[in-house]
Amino acid sequence: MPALVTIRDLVVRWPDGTDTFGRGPLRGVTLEIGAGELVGVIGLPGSGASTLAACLSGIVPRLTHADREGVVAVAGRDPEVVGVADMARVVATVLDDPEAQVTQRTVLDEVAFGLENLGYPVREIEARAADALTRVGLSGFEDRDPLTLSGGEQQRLAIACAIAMRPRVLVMDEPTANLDPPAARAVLALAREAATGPDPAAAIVVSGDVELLAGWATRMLLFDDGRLIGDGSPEVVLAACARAGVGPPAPVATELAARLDAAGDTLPVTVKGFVAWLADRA
Amino acid sequence: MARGPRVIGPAGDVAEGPTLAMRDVSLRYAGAASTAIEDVSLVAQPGQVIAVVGRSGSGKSTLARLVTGQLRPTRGVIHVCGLDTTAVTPTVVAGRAGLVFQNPDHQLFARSVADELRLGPQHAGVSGPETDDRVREAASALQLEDVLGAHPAMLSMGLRKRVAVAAVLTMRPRLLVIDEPTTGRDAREAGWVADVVRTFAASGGTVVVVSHDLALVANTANLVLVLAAGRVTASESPGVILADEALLAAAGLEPPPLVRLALALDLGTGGTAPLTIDEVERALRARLGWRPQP
Repeated sequence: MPALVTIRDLVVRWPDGTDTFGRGPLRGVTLEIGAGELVGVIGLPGSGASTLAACLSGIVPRLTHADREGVVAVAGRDPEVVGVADMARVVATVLDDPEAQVTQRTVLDEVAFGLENLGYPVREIEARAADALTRVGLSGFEDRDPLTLSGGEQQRLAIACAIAMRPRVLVMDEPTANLDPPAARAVLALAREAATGPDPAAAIVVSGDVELLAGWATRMLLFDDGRLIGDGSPEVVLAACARAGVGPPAPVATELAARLDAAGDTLPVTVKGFVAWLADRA
Repeated sequence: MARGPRVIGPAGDVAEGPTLAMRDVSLRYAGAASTAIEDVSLVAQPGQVIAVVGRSGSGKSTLARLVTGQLRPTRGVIHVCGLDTTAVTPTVVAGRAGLVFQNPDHQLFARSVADELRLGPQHAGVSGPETDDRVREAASALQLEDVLGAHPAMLSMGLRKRVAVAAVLTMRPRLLVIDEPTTGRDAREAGWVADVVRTFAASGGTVVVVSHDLALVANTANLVLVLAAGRVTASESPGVILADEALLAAAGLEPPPLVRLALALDLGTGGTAPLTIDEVERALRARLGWRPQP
């Protein structure tokens, strides 16, 4: 099966050297992502992790002053070349500031908006919107004005809008920034559902909450200064993170295991994993 | 953050006596069926960091507004630096107690970050050169030098939050109150919040931080207040609060990963959770009979 996301020698430059949203440059990135993967993308601010996410949706370079070189193909389409509507059929994005994504007067209209623009039949729009709102725990909120929702509810609405599109590639950049721990885990559960459902998508989640990602991601990408310096299982990438002191702080389980074990290349990334790891050694 | 913030704290001599003293404070919003805050008493000294935790709607944000003079109690007395907040205007209190709102968009008005930082001192009648000094200092502390000319609306949520904190610091308050500093923002940047809180307290200020981020609480607070339905249900050190899973669950909170790990391995001692990874490492090495870290 061909990869859903293909990126080759991707370079992104900001003409002023920087982006006011804190997205950094990319200095030559090559990777592929397939259906069924839940990819966690980590890196310090400006490392390029958010820039990668923005390249998949086409926000970079279409809505910015950035220059892009190299190959980006999302379900065979180049987001820089293909129109917004055609990209919307294959990729959906959730950002960290849900209020900035809201355009409609009611929650139901908001979820229906993308599907209406692609000309889906009314019955299908209604069915998908109801399903998406149920999945994020917002049934009963259909008639509310999105701007009167709490930050956490707005974030779940943004996620409902994305999953209603049934995208081939689901991109989330800091989707849990407004959420408490149970709600944050529910978001990762939705990402996993998208990746492992009957028609599996590729789910890509950029997050500074490494502890959260560690328990869910099937694969972790670590960015540092515009380069992809780690690509593998969370246990391997985060072990390297903890040992080399690069990237964001590793989960406490990984950090502690690295201190206790000077050698291992694979370290636990969750509390549960740490307890088992310790039992093997004691 | 690559480099730490410069020391930035209250101006002038450190006041004698507590920065904040609340006695039997209650507040009922007009038309509300129940009180939002009920019989809260609290004394906070210079250098102290007090965390306030609890469910949404437990009264945390109301408390933040009370101690910064934006709300007046229905009953009880609040003194900030010895000043009775009910006896003066909110502007007078604002010179001593600064509030950073949960949503920075509720406090950013100017067309550039620099103008935003100047706004407070200008309104307070601070001289031009002194205002410029304060703006430079606050911008440096929050690492905003590169975006001083930018429109706040063009910045990421995390940067807007930093602008809001810097704008409050330009008023040189003695009491810094931050409402949910680590929500709605890029968690990768969260390290600066703990830096600012610790630095402000270390330079003689007092911080009240309203948060459900218990990792931040563990990293910064000397005292944790748990609020439920407007009442203080616990007032203890972070180690004691974080070890009490039943208390946390009742407040809608979960222990941070380090504490969960320590509790899963039964490393808590005498009902106190270890708050640093060094403590957990030492306890584990001792238990396993492994050599201490050289």
